[in-house]
Amino acid sequence: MTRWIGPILLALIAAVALLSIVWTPWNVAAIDVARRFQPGSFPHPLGTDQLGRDLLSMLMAGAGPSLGVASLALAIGLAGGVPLGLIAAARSGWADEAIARAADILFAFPALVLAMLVVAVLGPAASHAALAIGLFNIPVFVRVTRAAARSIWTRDFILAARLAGKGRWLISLQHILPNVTGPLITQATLQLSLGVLAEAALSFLGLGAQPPAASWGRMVADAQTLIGVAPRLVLLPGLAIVLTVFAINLAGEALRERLAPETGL
Amino acid sequence: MIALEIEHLSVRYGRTVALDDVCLRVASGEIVALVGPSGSGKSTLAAAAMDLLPVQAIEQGVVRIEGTDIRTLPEARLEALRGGRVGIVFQEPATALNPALPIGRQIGEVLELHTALGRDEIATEVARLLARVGLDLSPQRYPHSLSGGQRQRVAIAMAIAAEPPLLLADEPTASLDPVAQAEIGALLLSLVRERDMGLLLVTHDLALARRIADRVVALDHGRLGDQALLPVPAAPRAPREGGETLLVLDGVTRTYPERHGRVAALTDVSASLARGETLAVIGESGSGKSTLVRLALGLDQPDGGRIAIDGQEWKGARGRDLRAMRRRVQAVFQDPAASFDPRQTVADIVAEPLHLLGRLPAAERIAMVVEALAHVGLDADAAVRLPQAFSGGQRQRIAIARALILKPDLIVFDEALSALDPILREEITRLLLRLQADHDLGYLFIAHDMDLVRRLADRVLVLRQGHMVAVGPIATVFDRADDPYLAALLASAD
Repeated sequence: MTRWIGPILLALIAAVALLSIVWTPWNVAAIDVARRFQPGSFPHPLGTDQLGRDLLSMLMAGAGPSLGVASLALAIGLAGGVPLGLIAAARSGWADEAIARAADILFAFPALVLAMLVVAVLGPAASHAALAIGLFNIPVFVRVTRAAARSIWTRDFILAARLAGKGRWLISLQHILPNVTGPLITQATLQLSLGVLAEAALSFLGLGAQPPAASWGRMVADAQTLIGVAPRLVLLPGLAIVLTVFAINLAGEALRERLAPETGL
Repeated sequence: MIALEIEHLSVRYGRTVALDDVCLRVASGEIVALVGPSGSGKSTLAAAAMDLLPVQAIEQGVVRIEGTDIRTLPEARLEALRGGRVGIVFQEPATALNPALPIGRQIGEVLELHTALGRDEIATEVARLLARVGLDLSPQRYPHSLSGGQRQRVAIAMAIAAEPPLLLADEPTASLDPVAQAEIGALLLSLVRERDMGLLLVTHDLALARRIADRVVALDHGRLGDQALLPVPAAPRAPREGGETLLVLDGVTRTYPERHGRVAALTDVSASLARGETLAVIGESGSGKSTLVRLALGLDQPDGGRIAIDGQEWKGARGRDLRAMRRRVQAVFQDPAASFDPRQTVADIVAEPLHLLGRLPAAERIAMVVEALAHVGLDADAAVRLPQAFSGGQRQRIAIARALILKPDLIVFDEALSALDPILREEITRLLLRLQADHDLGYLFIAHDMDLVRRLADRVLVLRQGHMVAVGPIATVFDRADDPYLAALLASAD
């Protein structure tokens, strides 16, 4: 039963994110200074913030950029990293060396600092944040794919495929890729939760989704001086971030158990 | 003195019966070999002799070691018994030794636990034990710097350190090359005689059992059977006239780059194989057999010399010519577990070589898969299942079906029967002989097992460190027992 907690929680958060695109209880862009710092009550279940916006609506709308940016970054990482990893594993020699060393170099930089640089150059926006985070997902997937693929390349069934006259690329597609999906899915869930955290960090610094769009990281940043006045303005978005990361990790764990129950990884 | 006495022992795991009313005695100074196919209960019996069965096991019967019923002993006494009164040698010395400790420490640990010797005496005793098992090595060496045979000697030194009256050896030679196998067998024999130990040798290597054991006991489905169940060593096959020449190796040399210069895996090897004929390749590990396989299959190219299939060289073959050559040569590999893509069904696996024929209508593909499966005695409904659903012997049939589907002229068997127990091996051997006769196939057969070589091969190529030691008809080569290397290889079988 416990294995369903993560997937269900994640599905709920994703459903809220989708719902917030078409409907939130209040308009998150509507500022009503007269009604600021309202405690939780009937029209505003979680109260209002320092500008009189409905906190529940803000939290709901914040789920979108959070999951959206992390998913887009994950997609960029997979689309860039997996083919490069497969190529590196299929070709020994300079191509492999070049790809592996390039991944190492990208790894050597503190990802978040460089992501800030990328966003600073391109200008702050949710899509640019996704691009910056995704760029640093690429070497992660290069490494995982390359390592897993290299061990598959040594197996006898690859010899059998070569005897069938199949070339490197066909073997990579037909035999290597299906057999590296296990470690890839495991890594993907990790990168997704790291992406949620990175998005929160970037928007905390004002480099993520821009106002009037809601974002958990910026909600924490905007309210940090008010923590003594209305702690819920900081705690609730913080809690939302934690809950999302927690849900992704639990869902990843459940997925891993399904895929490779014996390894216990 | 009776070292080990098992009376009416039955073991069940849930509803599965692992051992059924087994009675067995091993006297001091006696070697009893316990043979049987995989899953026959051999390992359960060995575990029961040390009271090391998993907790789910339900046990009935009596196990006595030197007259003491071990099931009445408290856990503390049992710990003293294992390693102290019962020495154990496992199949895989690489995992039985601790990689982080020098070998001297590991042997000394046994002495510390099970004897009253002081520190200096332990050091002397460790040196004496190393010498006794034939290792002229510093006790400071680590397991990774030793060969498989040397590691197994260390494991034996540990097992006999506390002078146990009973030794249990679970497939002690299964992971070693033939020369090391013969040496370990001889070492165990001499230790048992010298120390008057009882040895229960669990193995599926009948040749080893026959060579060193006083008695051979067969276990089948948890019951002690009689020896009649065991396959009899078959007569060598009659020499035959080969047909047209299929595979030619002419002065083949292959070197690989190393840190300093290049290392030769094969040096100036020449041999040929005719249609309908079997050429066996034998040699210890590292003798170049695997390199030869890759070269013969055209997966790798030689630095010198030529390799030709029907007069056409692999080297330089491209496009349509290469595909035409590939269709004539297929292979069966050693480990049936590794030779299939775990994500493919049997139909996909067997159909893989059809890639060489280009696009085929689905109905034709299916018909060819079913025909190939039928040749190896598998039903058509096997096609939709995953390879994991099959036993080792059946998986090797699937691998043979994959090699047969293109109706090749030459099949390379790379230790293809080594992972099978004797009964399955016999089955597959018969299958191979029949297929060869039906389809006039040439076999290039890489093997460890000399009985099998005698049974299957017409001619034999002996390799040592990449050099040819001998090549020729099997009777001629095997008669040259004056060559010490050849004698050691042959001794591993009889």
